[in-house]
Amino acid sequence: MGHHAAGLLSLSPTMVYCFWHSGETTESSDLQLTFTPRELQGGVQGQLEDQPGMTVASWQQRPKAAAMSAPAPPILFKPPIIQTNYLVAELDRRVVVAGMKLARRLLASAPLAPYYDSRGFSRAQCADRR
Amino acid sequence: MQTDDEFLAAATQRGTTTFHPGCTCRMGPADSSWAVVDDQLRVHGLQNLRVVDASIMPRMISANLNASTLMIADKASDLIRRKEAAGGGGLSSSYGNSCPGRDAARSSSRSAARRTGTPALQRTASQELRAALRPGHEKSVGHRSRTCECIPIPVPQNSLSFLASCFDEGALSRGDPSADRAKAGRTGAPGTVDGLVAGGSAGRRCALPWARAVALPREVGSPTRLKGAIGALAPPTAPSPRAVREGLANLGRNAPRERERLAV
Repeated sequence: MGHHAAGLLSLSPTMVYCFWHSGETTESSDLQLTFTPRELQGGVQGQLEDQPGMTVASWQQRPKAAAMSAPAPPILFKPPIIQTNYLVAELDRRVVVAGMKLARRLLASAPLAPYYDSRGFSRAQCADRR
Repeated sequence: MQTDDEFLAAATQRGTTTFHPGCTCRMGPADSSWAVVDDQLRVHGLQNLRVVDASIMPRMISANLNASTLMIADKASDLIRRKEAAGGGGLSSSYGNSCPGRDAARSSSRSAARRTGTPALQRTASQELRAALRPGHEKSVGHRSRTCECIPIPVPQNSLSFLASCFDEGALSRGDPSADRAKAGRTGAPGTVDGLVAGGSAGRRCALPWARAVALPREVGSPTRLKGAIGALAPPTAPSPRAVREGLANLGRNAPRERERLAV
């Protein structure tokens, strides 16, 4: 998929979604996971690797950390200042780590076993996934 | 990656977001300090300026914003045309006379009314729908509130994504986010984004006069405590100026391709 592609058809082929509970919060669903039947190049959305693969992404829902924003100087089209403060809240960090672990569990699950090829992995990288 | 610290380090280095911003022009009472638009989506203090997008949501919803934003736009079209929703109820008039669900609901409701003798004409469309969906539960037909119940969350919140790939040197370890930022023209100065917001509604600027808020995490149960390097990333509730300058500030920056798509 071209780097400069735009429009609806250039969106990543994310095929499967699920919602999950990390166990870290009281919310019934604080994680969203997406599954893409290709490996994303460097993890960048919309850029696919040449080799076959699959990618599971975990997304924290409604993080606790609040952003900070401020209006820009009164110049037309000057964007405001935004500080997203990702991972500032400890609870967010725990949820994010839980989501990443869950992604690994899914990749190592039995239903995915027929499609899971670890030949590219180093021994150390494979050890915790099998 | 084995330990929580390693996971978090990877997340800090490789995390990204696709930005689903919302709640930056929240709907609420005019006398509140955080609301931008009223329940007709008009900017408070102005007569003919409406905001119609995900920014008017009082708080972040529990799903992708797309479907809800479509419904907001559908409702807004009625408001702008000063057209009451069909039957005075909650079903949009945009479906005209050919809404299958509404027609089915009304037909079923009329049938029920004939059986029970209850005059269906006195009900709103939403009441008819509820009655049709729950026959025999007439008492459950409630009134339709037009009150906006807003929960004050002062700033937008976005999700942060982390990718786990199943092949050698997967997404978490191979990319170079600094290179991405360089290609995107980022200078590294924290917080100086975004074309995304620059394309937003005018109400945002009047609505966010140096808004800053930090939500304390809700501690529940006995979660696994992260340790070590986490403390060096940032304090638990608010970033230090140094952390803002050096660390987490670069998280969530748009990848070059996303930035191009979002730029207005």
